[in-house]
Amino acid sequence: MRQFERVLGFLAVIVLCTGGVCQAADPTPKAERPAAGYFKAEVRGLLLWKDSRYRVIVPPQERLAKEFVLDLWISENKSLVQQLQGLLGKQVVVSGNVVWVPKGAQVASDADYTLGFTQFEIKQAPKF
Amino acid sequence: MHILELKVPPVGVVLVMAGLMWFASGIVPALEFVFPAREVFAVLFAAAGLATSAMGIVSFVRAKTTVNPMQPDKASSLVVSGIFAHSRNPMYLGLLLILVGWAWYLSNVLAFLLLPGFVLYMNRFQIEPEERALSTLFGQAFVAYKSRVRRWI
Repeated sequence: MRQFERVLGFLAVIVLCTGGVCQAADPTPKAERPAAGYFKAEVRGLLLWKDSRYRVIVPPQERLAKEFVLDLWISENKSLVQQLQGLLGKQVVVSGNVVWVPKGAQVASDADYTLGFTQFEIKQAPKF
Repeated sequence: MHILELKVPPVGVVLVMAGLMWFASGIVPALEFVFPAREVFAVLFAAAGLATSAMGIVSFVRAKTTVNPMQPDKASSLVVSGIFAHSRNPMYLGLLLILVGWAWYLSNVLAFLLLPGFVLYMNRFQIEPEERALSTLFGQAFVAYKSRVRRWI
């Protein structure tokens, strides 16, 4: 009888160590992925086909500052591409959400992303 | 991925299709029609087909990219100028024109009715896998090209 109590006690210690205690000891609760955010933007700049993608070059206000470049991420859309082709080399106004978009076809690291519009409206900029 | 994708060389598909057209014309001679200038039409279409295919091959060679249709993932550059500004698949368009010339030569309705079969086969088992590979290789450049230029003509 005493031996049976010892075995029971031994099993209880094992259960506490491997189950209840260990589970309770996990201090890192799983973080929930936050909802995707975005910038809402309207830019005026020069539309170019550069580095195998449509890009809007936004000139800086300061003479020596760097220009700002935003990609236009497109899916297969004949009318949109026709519109973009017609606007190439012209000043345009693009409005939409700015997010990280891949620079090229292959994406291996953060460096392969750049900022760009995914859903956007584009029109020729009015002359000043 | 279907087992037939990128497995049969397009020229092989043309030969099989040409054989089928000839066979179909033979078994249903009642569907033959008389067309006075059939040989002229046949030669014109075949010549146009050869020229179209040749222009596509020359553009690929100039761009130093692979002309092997079985390995589109080996393409080193996206060719969008020349004949490729009018058709995304000028080589296959050329093969289709050659088959149209063959159909004129056979002058049988069945032979013409088999032509869409070639287009459907090429779309499903050759062109779509190629387009998947080119999308992976060239991304936005291929998306823009696809939106600008039609698959056949």
